[in-house]
Amino acid sequence: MKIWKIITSHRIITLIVLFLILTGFCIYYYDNFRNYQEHPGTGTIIASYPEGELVAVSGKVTETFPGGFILVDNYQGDPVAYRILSYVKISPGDRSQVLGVLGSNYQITATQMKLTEKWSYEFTLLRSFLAFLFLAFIFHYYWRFNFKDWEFTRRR
Amino acid sequence: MPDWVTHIAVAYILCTVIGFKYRQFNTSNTVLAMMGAVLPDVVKLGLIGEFLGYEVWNQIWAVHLPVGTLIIAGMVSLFFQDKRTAFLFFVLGAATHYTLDLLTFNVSGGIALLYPFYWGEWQLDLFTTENFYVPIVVLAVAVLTYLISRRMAKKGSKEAAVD
Repeated sequence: MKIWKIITSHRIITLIVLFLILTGFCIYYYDNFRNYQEHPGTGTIIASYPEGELVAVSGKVTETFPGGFILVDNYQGDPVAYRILSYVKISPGDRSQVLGVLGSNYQITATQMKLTEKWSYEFTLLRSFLAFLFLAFIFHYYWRFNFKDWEFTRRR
Repeated sequence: MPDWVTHIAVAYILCTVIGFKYRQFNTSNTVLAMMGAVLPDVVKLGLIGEFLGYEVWNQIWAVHLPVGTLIIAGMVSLFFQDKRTAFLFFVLGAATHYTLDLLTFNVSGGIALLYPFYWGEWQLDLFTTENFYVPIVVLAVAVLTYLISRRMAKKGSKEAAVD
């Protein structure tokens, strides 16, 4: 238990070390995740354009046309527009995940899709926000921050 | 990933039910587990990036993997008087988060539970994130659990008064 005491008595050092480890894991993930994806995503499509392969993309629907829709993914700040061929009913503003075969000019023939209507997405965000407010309230009810020791202590 | 109503309610139900038998699962510790249940969603900070026009999901996605959440739980628990208890309840809450996330449907991928040792991803495709029947059912069970726990607490205090 000596190690536990050392860790908890040097909080700032422990915090910095943990933060650095977390940053390392984030960098390692970002550098390697494309090599392990089940299906190529937008990053791989931009880098090597695997035409004819099954790809998985997601984004926001911006436009519909007979027999499909335009799906825009945001890749590192740049919008990437896909022309998705599918007869599923969808509206601009909805969100979608698409698994399909990549054709030429960023056209994808969908084989499987997950649709999220705009209102449903916004409702999910709203109820999650309300849940966050509730959690903040209940946390404040049971715990208080002791500025002297810089730690939370029980109220009850 | 399900919404926060579901995550928080499931952590509450689990801790309250276990609390019927074990005193450590009191309400203040249950609140920590409820916090732990949304800890992996620190990744939602990516929404702010998205709002500002920056795509940062992949840069910070490791925080939504068990190893990243364990580290964040460790960091947050340093700010609690009883650090070990806080850490354990955060981890319990986070475990409920990943269990629920595993049940959701996505067209590809899943959760890399064993990252960084193994990159394989899992998902069980049972329901979608936006399915609001799930939070309704879970909320109903949470309310029922709350009522039962209140009743048991009252019964307990009456018996103590008689003794």
